[in-house]
Amino acid sequence: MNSFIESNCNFMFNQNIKCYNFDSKKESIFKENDFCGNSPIDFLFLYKNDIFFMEVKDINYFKDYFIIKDSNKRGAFFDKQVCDIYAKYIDSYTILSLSNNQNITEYQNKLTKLSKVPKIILFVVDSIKKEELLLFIEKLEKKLKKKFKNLKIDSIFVETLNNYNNELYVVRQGSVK
Amino acid sequence: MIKKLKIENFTLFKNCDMEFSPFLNVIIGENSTGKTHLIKLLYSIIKSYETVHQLDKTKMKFANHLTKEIIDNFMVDSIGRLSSRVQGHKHTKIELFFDNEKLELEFSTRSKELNLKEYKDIATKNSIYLPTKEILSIFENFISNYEDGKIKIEKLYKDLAIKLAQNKTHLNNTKKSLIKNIENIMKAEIIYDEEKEKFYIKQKGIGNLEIGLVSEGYRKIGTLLHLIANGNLSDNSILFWDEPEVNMNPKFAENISKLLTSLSKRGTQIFLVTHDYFLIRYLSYEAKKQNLKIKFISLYKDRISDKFVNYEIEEDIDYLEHNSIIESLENIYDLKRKSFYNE
Repeated sequence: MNSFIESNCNFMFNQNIKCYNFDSKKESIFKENDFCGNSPIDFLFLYKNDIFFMEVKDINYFKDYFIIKDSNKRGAFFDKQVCDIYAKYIDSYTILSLSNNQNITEYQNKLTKLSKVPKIILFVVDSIKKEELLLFIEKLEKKLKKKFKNLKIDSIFVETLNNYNNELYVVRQGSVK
Repeated sequence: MIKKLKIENFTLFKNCDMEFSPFLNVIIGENSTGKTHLIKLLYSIIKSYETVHQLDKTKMKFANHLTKEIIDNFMVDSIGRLSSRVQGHKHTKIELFFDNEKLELEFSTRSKELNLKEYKDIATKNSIYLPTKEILSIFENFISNYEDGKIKIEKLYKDLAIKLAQNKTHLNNTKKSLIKNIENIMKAEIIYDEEKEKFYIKQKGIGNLEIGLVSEGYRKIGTLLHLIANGNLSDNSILFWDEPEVNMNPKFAENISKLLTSLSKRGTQIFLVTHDYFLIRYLSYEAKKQNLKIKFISLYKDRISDKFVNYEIEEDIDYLEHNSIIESLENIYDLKRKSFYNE
């Protein structure tokens, strides 16, 4: 079982899931694209016929969104988070396409065979109700699709400590350092 | 003000004891769980007080009138049809508690008329029932057609028509601004022509349009606005509204919630039946903001084949264990998850 630590959580991927800690290099190998930022999403894994990008965020990154009273500022804050996810997505996609790193060759091969682009899982470290998650996904998808019309976002899904997919991985929170 | 309702063996209710909020009461539940039965029963009782008060306050008259009111609003052949057939329990018992008074009545499956066990006149007598269908577009001759037996529909539609058939009255500034807020969204005003018995919508730059030319959602909102404007929905009224969301765009939910919370803050007790997510959420936020006590009543069956419904009441919607509206949203989340993982 592959075990990775991120945002004070231990992600243990099931044996049949091929997972790669994508953020381990700390810096992107594709620095010339300034807009894309310089760090890829946290995990990369294969499941069935899809490649998944998984970004883990502590709820504290988003808490401000619910606290900010000014709707314009709140919107700007949300946009910033969306841009951050987008930048990581582009960065990861670029690394995957162009990298010579042997560790990701399998994913690279898969990517060339697949017509689909990778799917993004945004893992929010906290317990949020499914109803709120659904609205969050709707909002995120809408923002991403509207903001970046040229980007093919196949789909984005938000998971939490309560609602993760335990067929792929289990997650333990708290005592991890 | 209705404080509490106790029921035994009435339609889908075997046993219930519900305490209401003096402000907002929101009833939710899947189809066929008795939501409309509940508000029709409450309305029929309050309406009987209103009518009998104008005629004769005697116990016998009230029993007679209430029997007819219930029969006409439930559209059943006899009052006994509303009594649940349960082995060992032959009677239906209803107790309704007001601020200081109580009404108690009984009937059985064989009853032709209900039996009043306890009755005293009460101060609250003004009730409005807004049903799922709007009547502004079919208003012309509606009352006379109903009375001539040409229209067979629940009596509450006729009651509503009578209350609508009055023109605008002088309003204080608060009520004017309540109406104005909604009219600003509609960008139109509801006009009643008493002579023609017809409703129109007045739009800036266009003039008066026949009400049939505007959407049903606007007609429903127009109904509420006209009742406030003509003074029939006043501060001490009790408002029953069955599924406001029917034909209404969710964009209206926020302003409808603001309007309802403002009305209840001014003394109108509200009973609302809804299936709408946006409405329950906006009402929760508005009630919290205005510090108003809101009660969410969830009616549910453990199994679809069950004869009787269960219920739970909470002041916070999120504390309800049975919430068919949120459950549907969760179901969409699960569907989306399946599609995402290609399951």
